[in-house]
Amino acid sequence: MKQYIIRRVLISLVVLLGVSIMLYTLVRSMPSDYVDLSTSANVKMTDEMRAHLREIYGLDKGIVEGYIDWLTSALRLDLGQSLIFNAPVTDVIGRYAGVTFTVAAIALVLQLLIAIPLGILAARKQYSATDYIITGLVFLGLSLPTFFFAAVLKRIFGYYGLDLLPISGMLTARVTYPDHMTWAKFLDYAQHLILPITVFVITGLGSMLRYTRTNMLEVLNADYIRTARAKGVPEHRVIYSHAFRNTLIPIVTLLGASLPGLFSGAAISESLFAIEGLGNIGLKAANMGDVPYLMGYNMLLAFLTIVGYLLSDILYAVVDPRVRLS
Amino acid sequence: MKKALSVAMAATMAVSLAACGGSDSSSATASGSNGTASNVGSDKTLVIAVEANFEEKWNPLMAESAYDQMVVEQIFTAPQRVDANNEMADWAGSIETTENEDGTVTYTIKCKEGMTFTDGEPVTIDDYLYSLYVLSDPSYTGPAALITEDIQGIKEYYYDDPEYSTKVAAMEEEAAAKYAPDVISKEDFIAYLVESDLNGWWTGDPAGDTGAGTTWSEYIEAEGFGEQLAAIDATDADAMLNLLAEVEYTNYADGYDPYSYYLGKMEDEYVAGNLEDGVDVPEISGIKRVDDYTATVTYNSLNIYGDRAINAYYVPEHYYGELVKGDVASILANNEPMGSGNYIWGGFADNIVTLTANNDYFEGQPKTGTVKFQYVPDADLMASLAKGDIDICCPAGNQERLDELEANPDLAYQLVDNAGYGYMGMNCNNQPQGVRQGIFCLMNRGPAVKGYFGDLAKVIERPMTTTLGEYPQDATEYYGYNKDEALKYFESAGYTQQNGKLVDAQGKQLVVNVYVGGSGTQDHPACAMLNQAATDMAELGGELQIQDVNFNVLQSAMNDGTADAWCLAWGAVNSCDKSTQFKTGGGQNKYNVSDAELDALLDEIVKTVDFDARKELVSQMLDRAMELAIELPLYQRENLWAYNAVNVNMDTVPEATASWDHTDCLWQIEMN
Amino acid sequence: MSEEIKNNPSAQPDKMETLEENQLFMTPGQIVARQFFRNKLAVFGLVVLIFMALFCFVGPLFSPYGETEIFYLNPETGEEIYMSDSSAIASAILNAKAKPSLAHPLGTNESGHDVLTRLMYGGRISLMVGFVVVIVEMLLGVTMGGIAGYYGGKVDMVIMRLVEMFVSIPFIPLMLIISSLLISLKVSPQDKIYYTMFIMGIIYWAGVARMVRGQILSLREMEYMQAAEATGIRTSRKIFRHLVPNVMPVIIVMATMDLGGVILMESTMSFLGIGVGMPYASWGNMVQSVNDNVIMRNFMNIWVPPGLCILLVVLAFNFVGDGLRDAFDPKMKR
Repeated sequence: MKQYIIRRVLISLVVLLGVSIMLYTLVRSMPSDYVDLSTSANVKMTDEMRAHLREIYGLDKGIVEGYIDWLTSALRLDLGQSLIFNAPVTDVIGRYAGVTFTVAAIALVLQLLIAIPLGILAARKQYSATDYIITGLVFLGLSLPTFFFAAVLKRIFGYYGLDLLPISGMLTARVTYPDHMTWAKFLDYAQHLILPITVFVITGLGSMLRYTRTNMLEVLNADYIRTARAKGVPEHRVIYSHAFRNTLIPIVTLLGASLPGLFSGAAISESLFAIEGLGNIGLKAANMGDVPYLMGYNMLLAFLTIVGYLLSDILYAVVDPRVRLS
Repeated sequence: MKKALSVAMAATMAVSLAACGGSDSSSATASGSNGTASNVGSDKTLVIAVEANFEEKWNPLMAESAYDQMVVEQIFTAPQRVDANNEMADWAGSIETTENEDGTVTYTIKCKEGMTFTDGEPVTIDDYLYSLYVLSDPSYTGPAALITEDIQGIKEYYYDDPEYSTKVAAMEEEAAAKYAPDVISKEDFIAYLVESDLNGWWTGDPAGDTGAGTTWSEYIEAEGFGEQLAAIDATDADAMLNLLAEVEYTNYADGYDPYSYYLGKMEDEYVAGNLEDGVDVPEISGIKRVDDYTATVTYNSLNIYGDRAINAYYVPEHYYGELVKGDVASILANNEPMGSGNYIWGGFADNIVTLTANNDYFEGQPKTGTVKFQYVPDADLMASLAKGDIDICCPAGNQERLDELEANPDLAYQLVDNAGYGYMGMNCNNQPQGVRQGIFCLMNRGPAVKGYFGDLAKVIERPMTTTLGEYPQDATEYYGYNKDEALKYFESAGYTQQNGKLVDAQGKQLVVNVYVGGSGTQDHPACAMLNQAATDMAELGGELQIQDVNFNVLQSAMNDGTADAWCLAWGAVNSCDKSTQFKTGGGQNKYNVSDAELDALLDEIVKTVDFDARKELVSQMLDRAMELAIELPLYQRENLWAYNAVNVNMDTVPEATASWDHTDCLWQIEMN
Repeated sequence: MSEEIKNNPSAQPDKMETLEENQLFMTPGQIVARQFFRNKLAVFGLVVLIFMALFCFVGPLFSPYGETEIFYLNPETGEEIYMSDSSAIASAILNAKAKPSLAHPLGTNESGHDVLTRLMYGGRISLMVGFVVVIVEMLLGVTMGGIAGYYGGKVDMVIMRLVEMFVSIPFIPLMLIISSLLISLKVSPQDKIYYTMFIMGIIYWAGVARMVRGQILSLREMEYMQAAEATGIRTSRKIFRHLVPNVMPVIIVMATMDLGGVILMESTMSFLGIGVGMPYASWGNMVQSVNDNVIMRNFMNIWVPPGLCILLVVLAFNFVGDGLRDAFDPKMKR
């Protein structure tokens, strides 16, 4: 087991290296770079000044040389300066990770709390009205684009509709809060985040529920459940102590895969609700050719993805003794 | 974008007092509940919405996006600013212009005495000079570099070589002696053509395409060099290039410019990094400190916009750190601004900028204690404004929004011409004049502009914003929508209709691409017009390829010459000088236009102080530009400033113009 | 892993009851079809898909207008002017955001196009791009996943690490960059979306490969495979006669669901400004109007129809996929 983990970690490092090469090549092959884009409206710009700026930002180097530079400083944990923010990439990520993580984590917990019981219910009553209603409703969330839900929710709960909730931003600008967290400030944040979190939950619920339902169905058809029933074990015990436990295995591994999602942010929801989070900034960076930020942010996500895979493989082995790791 | 460019701007005290009426009644009403401040509004908060994310560059010398600048403007002051009439007027100092007899121009900058920064330190001319030197530094990376200005000694400083001018003059002489059109030898000319790959035309592939639908061999034969072609190996790249050089020298020598090529090359070699050997030029010779409150800046030549270029903020050296030539990065990295403006930086968090009143502001104590700038997406502006979450915003104008503002008694608005205009540009390198003119004739601008903006924009006839006094108001339509006319122009460029296809002499179909940022959703005023034109073009037998792309893709296509045509808008235009766009080699000359007559007119305009004479020249210049068909003017739109009149005391809001609005006199805005 | 579908109907004892009840011999295909048609949602999905396909591919034949045709109005008389009337349109105004009428049953959009006509043409693209992605990702994914699962060992290790690399590349920056690269390569605007989707397919094979590999790994452990092994049949026969047919159900189910997913992906790309460009229509770019709050509030006829089409079709693909999954797996029947 220990040996297996060590080997997997080492291999993961190689995978990360591969990802970084692919990413850097991709990011640098954009047809226009940050200098072009940021100076495009400046009537005084000359080509000579542009070349000079490229030299300062290190954009004059070829892809190979640039990558080696990036890698050597990244290995020293220096991700460079974000060109848009004129500040270190690590600072920028640190500053905005909080809100992204909060929204995603709350949404994930809510999704689990809704998806698991409903999924079990739907599986128990397969092909019943309950099953159809649950599956149908939840599939709605899977069947429309994120921005559509965001717009409809804003319309319903915003000023032109019920006027119940703020529709954009994170805090009420009119009120000046102290820098530290207070109860009033917390409530204000909470109010602003209700709609974005709802959008996350609606759009993420479907796949999780379907996953639970399918697994539950599979378990319910297993021989040991039949045996338990035949023995006369009460139905709720069959469901919750025999079947559910075994459904947990794949759900645990699903959690591993959710890890990068906690930090990736949803660029689209964030931009529609004017939340300054990592996803929104990532979108801006991709549009402006901010190479250092794009590399730093996407490598963080790649790192989390790979850690997630690693965790779910190991967790799988832990919860399911039949899986042999070699 | 409004005010996207210059770092220093704003307007006169006199005008601002007149515009922001009722300012002297501030302390008449009863004091607020906090009881500490003498000012009524000190406990009030004004919320101004901005429609795009901040870039969070709060450094006065780095701020670039219109919204970052809107914030920075509140924190800093400069000697002058642009007033409501788009003229320079005194603010925290003055700038006087003196034309010297030798043709040079000296600006005398005076700093207002008795001002202090918000940390209590006095403001002096040194803070102004500090700004100028940072903006002139070789390591400066912001948007307002001064190096393009014709200030005496700035090149020597930038390249750190006291001999810069003499060396460049020597190079010019050397290049002229060998490569000037009248002295250049045939050998040198051929050598130049080969070395420069026919000025970039030659692709290196002998079997390739000339870019006009013929192969190189066909081209050589058509030019009458068939015999020589037969004598060489047509697959040998070097031999082909040499023969082509011969062809070009014989037939088209006038179209090439070896002099500029070699001069540029020499300069490039020379200019590469001069700072490694230590600082040789510590000062800019044209910038002189006279006393604590006075300095002079001397230009080599007259430029009517020179005072705007050198009108820099007072930036405190004691706060931003000592100036070290060649290393201003640490100065530029300071993102907590501190200056002498009407508000004090309070921080940025959750997409909200907080500013608090500077009670020692030299024009007077701000009426509202706290001002916040919040990012609100355009789609949510009207709701937020009506709800009272925000007080002032500038929603993208359209008829429905205007109607909504009219209908709601709690809201107020002002319409003001935007200091910019929309246009369709064309690249002269890609399409000949006739094709450009023909394309312009296919553009049915009226319905498209009206359909998109409603009454909030009008079609203009010359490529210049009507907010400038120099715009020729009586100009008439140059290229009306007319398919027959368009066909005539295409025919003048050598295209004929054959079997329903519009083809050139080589039988190649006319294909023109146009780039537009419509996001796939027709969200651009040019969309309906291009849609119509593409259909008409197909009917004539050509093809108009519409590339609907993101802004960055449009930019790169325009910059690298992929785009034949593109639809964009110029913003923050406050001068009638179009040299950077229309002049040969201009920094923003994406049209690749090179026309002697146009160049001469452009040069003349910036040297003409008399307004009427200048207006006449501008009119001629624009007519010439229209004839060349490089920029088709589309629309002049209006900005819509919307206010929540319940929250804001509308009597204190100035009458807005293209160059003046509440952000220019924020200290006078009062809350109800 | 858990979404395994073990299709081995004849070995199931409870299937025998069904056979006896009906006194009929049923092929596995018939059994699947029977199971499928018992699922009401799946049948609903199938009906929706057939209707939509007819609407998009046959519908335009009955529309009097073209996809990019725009309409004008005479400002004085309010009479409609067609775009071919070049003498009249110079002084006309655009017939934009017209309310539904006999001439335009769903009104016109902000550029003066007929919404109903564009809905048909837009649907063509939205439905067709899905097939591009799915075919490419399935070809690559099944091959790679099959190789990894069958041969195991070093090959498996390398392929699975490749899968991890591809899975780690974030979607949005990738799309933005690919789209701008395609434009700089002068791909024609009409074809760009297909090229983009082709590349998406090349990148999305990783998910398929993971799934197929898992499936094959578990199949290899089955008794019948071990039996086949023991008889010493050829590798190719093992793969094509025994493994592939048993993996097919997973592939079909995945493909069906991905077809729905791609429609959403196309609309996300439109949101980012890299989808189907003007003046051409797709459901994805039509539904963007929902973000314009003037249209959102006042012109339901512009944003609701494409939204409804997307909703129905994606739902339908999912229902059909789920129905197929349950139908292929006899154990799912309780």
